Amino acid sequence: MTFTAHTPEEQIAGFVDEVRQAGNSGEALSALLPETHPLYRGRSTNETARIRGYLLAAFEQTGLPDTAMPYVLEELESGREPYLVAAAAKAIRGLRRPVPEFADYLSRAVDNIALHDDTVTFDSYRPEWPLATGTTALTEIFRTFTWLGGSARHALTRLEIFHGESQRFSAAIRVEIGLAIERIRNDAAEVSGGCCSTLAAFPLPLRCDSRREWPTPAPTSGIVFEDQDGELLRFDDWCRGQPTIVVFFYTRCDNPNKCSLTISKLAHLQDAIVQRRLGGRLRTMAITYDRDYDIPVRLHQYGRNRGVLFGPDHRLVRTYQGEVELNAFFNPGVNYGAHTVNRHRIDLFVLDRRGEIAVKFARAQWTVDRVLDEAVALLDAHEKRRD
Amino acid sequence: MDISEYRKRLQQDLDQQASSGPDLRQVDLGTAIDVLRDPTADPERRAAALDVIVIELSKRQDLIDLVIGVLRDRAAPAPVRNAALSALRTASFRVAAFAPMRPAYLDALRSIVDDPDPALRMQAIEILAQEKDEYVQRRLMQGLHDQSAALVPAERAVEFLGYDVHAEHFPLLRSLARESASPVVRQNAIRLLGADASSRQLLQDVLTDRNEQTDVRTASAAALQALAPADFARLAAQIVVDQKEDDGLRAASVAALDHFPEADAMAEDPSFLERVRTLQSMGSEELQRAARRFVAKRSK
Repeated sequence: MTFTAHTPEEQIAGFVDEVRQAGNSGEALSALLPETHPLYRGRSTNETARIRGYLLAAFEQTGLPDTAMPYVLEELESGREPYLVAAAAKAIRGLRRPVPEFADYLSRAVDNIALHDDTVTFDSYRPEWPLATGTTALTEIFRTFTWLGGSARHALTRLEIFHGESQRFSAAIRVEIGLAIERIRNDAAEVSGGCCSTLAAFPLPLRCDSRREWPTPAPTSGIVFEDQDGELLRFDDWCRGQPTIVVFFYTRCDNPNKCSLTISKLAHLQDAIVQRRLGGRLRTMAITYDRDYDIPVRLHQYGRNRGVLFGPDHRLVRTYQGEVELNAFFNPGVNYGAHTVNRHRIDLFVLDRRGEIAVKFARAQWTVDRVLDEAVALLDAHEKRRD
Repeated sequence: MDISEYRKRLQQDLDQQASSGPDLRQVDLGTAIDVLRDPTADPERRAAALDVIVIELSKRQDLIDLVIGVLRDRAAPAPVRNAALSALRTASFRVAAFAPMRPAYLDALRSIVDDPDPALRMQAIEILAQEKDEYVQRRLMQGLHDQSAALVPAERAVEFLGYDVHAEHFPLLRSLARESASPVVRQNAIRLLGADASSRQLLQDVLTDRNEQTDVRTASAAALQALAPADFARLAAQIVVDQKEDDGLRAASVAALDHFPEADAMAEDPSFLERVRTLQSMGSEELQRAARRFVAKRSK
C-alpha cells in the first residue's frame, strides 16, 4: 500500500490495525518509519508523532523487525514525547527474546521522561477523553524491564534506587518498579549478550563509509550558505582543503536532547579542537534545517547562547542557494510540515579534504571524543599519503 | 489576554480574597483536608481550605490525588473546583516535585475541556495549550472549523493554538487573518503569522491596507518585523512619512524603527531624518513623542 502526504491519518491507522490484527510481520510498518517518508510531508509535529507512535506500539503484536530497531532506540535515547517513548518501550516487547543492552536504553528513557510523563493510550488512534483505560511512558518502560526479566539483571541496582525514590515516582509507578525487580530477581533465564546479541548488529551511533553508501557523490557546485553574520560561502570553497565536521539543527527544535544538545556539544567539540592543538586544521559547520526562519541574527544568538565559537573556521549557516543539491548530498533525516520541521533525526557528518562525506553519525547521540577521533584519523591518513 | 483585562481580573481576585470567605489560614492541615473532603461543607469553606492545603500540595502525592479528585468531580460546586485547579496549577510550578502526579493532572485537565463551567474549561484549555497538547489542539481546531463544536470563542482558540509553532495551523490562521469578520480574531491570527515564512506577503498587504483597522495593522507590523525585518523597515519608513496614514500606526512605526539596527542607515538619509524631525511638532502627542526620541538618539 502506498502512503503519501495526502493519505488521511485514519487510513494509515487502519493499515496499522490490519497488520497487527492479521498477525503479519512488522516489516510493512517498519518501512513507514524513516522520517523522510513522503507520508509525513506537510503534517504537524503532533500529527507526525501520532502516526509514528501508533506504528511503534504495534510492533509489540507484530514482532519488532531489525529494520525498526534504530528508530526504537532513538526514541528511548533521545525522545521527550511521552506517547513516542511509551510506544518505543512497548515495541521492545515484540522482540523474540530479551536483550540485556535494552535495559541501558530503558534507564536513559526513564531519565528523559521522568519530569515530562503523561497519560497516553494506544487503544484507539484518536482517543477522546475521559479515557476508559490509560497508561504512561514510565509505566510502559518499567513493564518492559519486567519483560526483560533476568536479562536486565545488571540494571537491578538502578531499579532499586528508582524504587526508593518516593518523591520522584508516583506510588503506581513504584508498584511497576517493584514488579520489575521481583521478576528480574526470580528469573533464572540465561543472560545473553555480547557479540551475539541483537544489538551487536546495530552499533550506535551508526557509522557509514561514504565509498559504500555514496558511490557517486552528488554535485555541490550550486550550494551557497549564509552564515551567522550574513557572509555568503560557497560549499566548494569552504568545505574543501581540510576536514569539516558538519551537524544539522534548527533553532525552533522542541526537543532539548536534539538540536540544542547538538549545538552545545558542537561548542565542546570546538573547545576540544583547540585543546588538542588542531585549530586551523579542522573546521566545523552547523546547517539549519529551517532556512526561512533561521536568519543570521537568530543563528548568531542561538550559537552564542550555547557557547559556540565563531570564526573563519566555525560557522552556523543557512542554505542561501542550492537546497536541492544540499539535500541530495547529505540526505539529512528530516521532514517538514507546511512551514517548518515536523520531525528529524540527529545527523553529523565528517567531510574529508575533498569535501566528500567520509563518516556519518546518524540518529543516535554522538560523543565529542569519538567524532574528533574520526576527524583526526582523516587528517592522519592524509598526512601519511602525503609522506 | 490583554494586559488591562489581566490587571482588572487580578484586582478583582485580590478584592474578592480580601472581602469574602472564611479565613482558614490559621487552621491546621488536617482540618483543612477534612473540610475539603466533606461534600456537605460550605463551598466557600472548602475553597478556603485549599489555601492551607496548597502549601503542602507539591510535597504530598496523596494530597494531589485528593485535589485532582475534587477537580474531576462534576457534582462539586464550581468555586471549589476552580480553587482546586488554581491550587494544582500553583503546585505544578514546582516541576520536579509535581512530576509524579503530572500524568494524572493532565489526564484530569483533558477530561474537563468541555466542562459546563466556562472558567474551569478556559483554564484547563489554556494549560493544555501551553503544554502543546495534541488532544486540546485537535478539539480547538474542530471548533474553528465547526462552530457547534467550539470550546471557547474563536479569538481565544486562535491564541491558544498559537502556543505551538509546530502545530501547522498556519493555513487556517492565514484564512482567518484574511476573512474573519472579527478584528480581534484577525489581530490574533496575524500576530502568530510572524512565525510563518509563507505569510510574508500577507503581512505586507495587511500593513499597507488603509481599510484595515489600526490594531490589526499594528499587529501586522510587529509580525513582519519578527519575520522579515528588512521588509518591515522599508514599509515602516514609507508609513512614517505619509501624512495620510493613521497617526497611531505612524507612531508605532517610528518607535519600532528607533530600535531597528538599520534605522541608523535610514537616519543618514537627510530627507528621511528631516521628515521625522517635522513630526516632532505635528500630529498626535504619541507621534510627536516617538519622533522626538528618534531624532534625539540620532543627534547625539
